[in-house]
Amino acid sequence: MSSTKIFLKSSDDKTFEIDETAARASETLKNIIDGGCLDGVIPLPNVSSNILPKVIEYCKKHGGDNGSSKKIANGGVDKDKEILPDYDEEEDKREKVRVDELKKWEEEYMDFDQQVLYDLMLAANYLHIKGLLDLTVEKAASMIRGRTPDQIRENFNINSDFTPEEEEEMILIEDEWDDEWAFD
Amino acid sequence: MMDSRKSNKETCDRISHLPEAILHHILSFLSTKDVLRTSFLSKSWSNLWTSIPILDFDETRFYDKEVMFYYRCYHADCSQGRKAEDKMWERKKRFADLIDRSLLLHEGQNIRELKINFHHLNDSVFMTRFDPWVRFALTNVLVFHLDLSSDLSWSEKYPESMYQLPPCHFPSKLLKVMELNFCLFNPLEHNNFPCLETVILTEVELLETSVQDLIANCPHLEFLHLKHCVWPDPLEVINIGAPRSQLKHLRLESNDVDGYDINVPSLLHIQFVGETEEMYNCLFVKNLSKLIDASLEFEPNYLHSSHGEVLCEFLNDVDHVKVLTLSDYCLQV
Repeated sequence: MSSTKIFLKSSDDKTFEIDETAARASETLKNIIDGGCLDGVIPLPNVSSNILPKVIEYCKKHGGDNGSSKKIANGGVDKDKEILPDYDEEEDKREKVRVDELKKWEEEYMDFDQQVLYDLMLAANYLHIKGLLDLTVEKAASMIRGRTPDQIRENFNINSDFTPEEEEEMILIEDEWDDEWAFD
Repeated sequence: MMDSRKSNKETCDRISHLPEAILHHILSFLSTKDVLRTSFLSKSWSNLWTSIPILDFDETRFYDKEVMFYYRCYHADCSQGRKAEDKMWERKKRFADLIDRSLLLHEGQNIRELKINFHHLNDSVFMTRFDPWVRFALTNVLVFHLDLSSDLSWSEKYPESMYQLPPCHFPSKLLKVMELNFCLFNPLEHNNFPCLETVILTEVELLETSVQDLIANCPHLEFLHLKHCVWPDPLEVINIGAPRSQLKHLRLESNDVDGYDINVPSLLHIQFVGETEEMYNCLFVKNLSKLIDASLEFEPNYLHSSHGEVLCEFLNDVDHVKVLTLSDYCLQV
């Protein structure tokens, strides 16, 4: 497979290189490429050079992946030459290994602080990379899930701007809810 | 090169300033319970959840294990006594209050999807509370699911206190998809549904002409699925005649009827599936020249020698289809 190189320019004028197949993981880039208005470098005024390499790393891992994992195997680096795989146990095992490997990769990839999380979320949103957006959004959701408002505020440094009276009223409702919906 | 510094303490609140679409995306990954909690975070969050495009109220997910235990007691009629029952009604009332409050906050807004799953038990206490929810859905919602079924068996819950959808005299201009489970629906009491494309009715009680009336009231209806539906007089042939409709796909599954008389020229797909008490006495079809595939995948509980004729006649009428699917039973006769 020939891999055309594409150049992306970050908001702070730094240029990064990416394979076309990887770039296609982004709907936005895919439309630019398919639209044929590719003029050397694609400027990305909303993505800084701090975060762009991280985005490219994700695209490289998921480029050419249209939802089927077989495509990862065939489109990726040819580690071992696979002949058309029959549906068999061996294939199942390889599939499991691939999934486990991807999980491990995601875990390592997602190990960063909150500022990176927001930047990555915004970049994924802007570049329409659905998988990356879901991944980052899920990380934020997991910091809210099953927690009390106080814990969430602390997690995200949110200032409560309610009046003391409103605050008091809410504590009452909250307690009532806690009674009703004890955590499983 | 990439960040290795890790600090959980944040110095500024960036999450609250994310675009609303992303915040909605985050909320969409949370249960309604967690979503409601976020309204206590700050003023901007307190309004955020009211603009969430999907509202999902599922009674079973609102309760903890203890309440589900009361439920089982109630269903099993076991001797946990009045205390358990009182407690259960109290929770149900609070759940209904919560739906009321939430819908009130969304008054005048359009909602993409409203799902209400409320176990309707054999009593009429809550019936009057459903009306405003349904009216809200018919005016403000694109996709509406109303599931009032409970775990009670059919004989226990039917036919007493079946909830009937309230009459509605203005068109439901937004509604595209409607899924009703366990209620009574008379399309004649509704103005019309100009945008409705998909209707799925499960365990819904209908009147003799309801199917025809519904198709006539929905000029854009494309998919109609009737599953375990009942009619007041069960041993009758249901007429489904709609010469001018757009209906493309008709799926009839285990309905309590004696047969069908179908005349819908626009149909592309027709399916008879599920178990039936008896073999259909008749399966008349007319004007199905556009039909692409037909499937007869039902299994009657009794075999009878006269079944062959009914099937043969049907097969003769649809001999032009490209794909024909038959169940073992239909092949046998």
